Amino acid sequence: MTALTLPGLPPVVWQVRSRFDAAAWALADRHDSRKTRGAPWVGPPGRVLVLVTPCERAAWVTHWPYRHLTLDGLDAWRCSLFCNEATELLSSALIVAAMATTAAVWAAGPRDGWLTWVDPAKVASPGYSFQRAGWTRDRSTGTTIMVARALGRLGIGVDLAASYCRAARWRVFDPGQAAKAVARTWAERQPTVFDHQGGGR
Amino acid sequence: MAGQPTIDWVIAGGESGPGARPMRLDWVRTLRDQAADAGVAFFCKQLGSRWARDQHVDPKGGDWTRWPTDLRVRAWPPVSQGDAR
Repeated sequence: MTALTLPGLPPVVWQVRSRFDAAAWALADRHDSRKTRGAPWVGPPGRVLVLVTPCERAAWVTHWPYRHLTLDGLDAWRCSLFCNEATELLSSALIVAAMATTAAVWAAGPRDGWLTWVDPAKVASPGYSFQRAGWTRDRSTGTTIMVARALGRLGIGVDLAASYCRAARWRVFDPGQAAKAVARTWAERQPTVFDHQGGGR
Repeated sequence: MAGQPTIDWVIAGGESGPGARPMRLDWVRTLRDQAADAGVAFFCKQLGSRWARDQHVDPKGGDWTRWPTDLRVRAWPPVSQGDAR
């Protein structure tokens, strides 16, 4: 696809593409977050907005799942893919433009704003570009509840700030985060302690 | 309430890491007392990085030997048959 520009207007940063766009899934295949490598589509099921730059070296996917279908119960636009292989394109500028494009296409914004996640094990500067684009890093809150769930218990978390509750809610119900919590909990699980303080026979 | 799940364990802890928010120790004390009144095990996990920084102790404030003595509570709920492995 060729990018069209008009005199006096800023150059097109993103183009809206189909989830089956070959450039989009080729970029996704080279990105560490890809869960279905080799699949000829991008994005999870549900409402997605696929954006690709005219040079086809950067891609973005906004996922907007219906709230009643989400485990975390959040009504949020979720960046499920962002990759930038174009060294001349500033990632933070691409993020700002992708957010603006999403807002332009899906006029009514979600109640809980934007969400994304970055695996610190796979990225040299986790979240740096998002923070440059005005995003804030959520605290790793909710760990105790995650461990409770990993042990088959129910956990109730309390926090003063709604934003922290939101972050915890996402962490607790995100399948990837939950899987990590289960693995770590069982790896570190201490043997059950039996104690007897009486003069038993 | 009959048939409703009950709380087995109350775990309290201050945040750790950069940007941690302060936790007042009287919040921990009131949770401890409420748990005691309800007959629920209470476990104080850590007093958090803000307290630890002020006290010049370990980064998370998890060394309970440095805490006020009345907060050194780390009780466990009774182990049920299903938990024994």
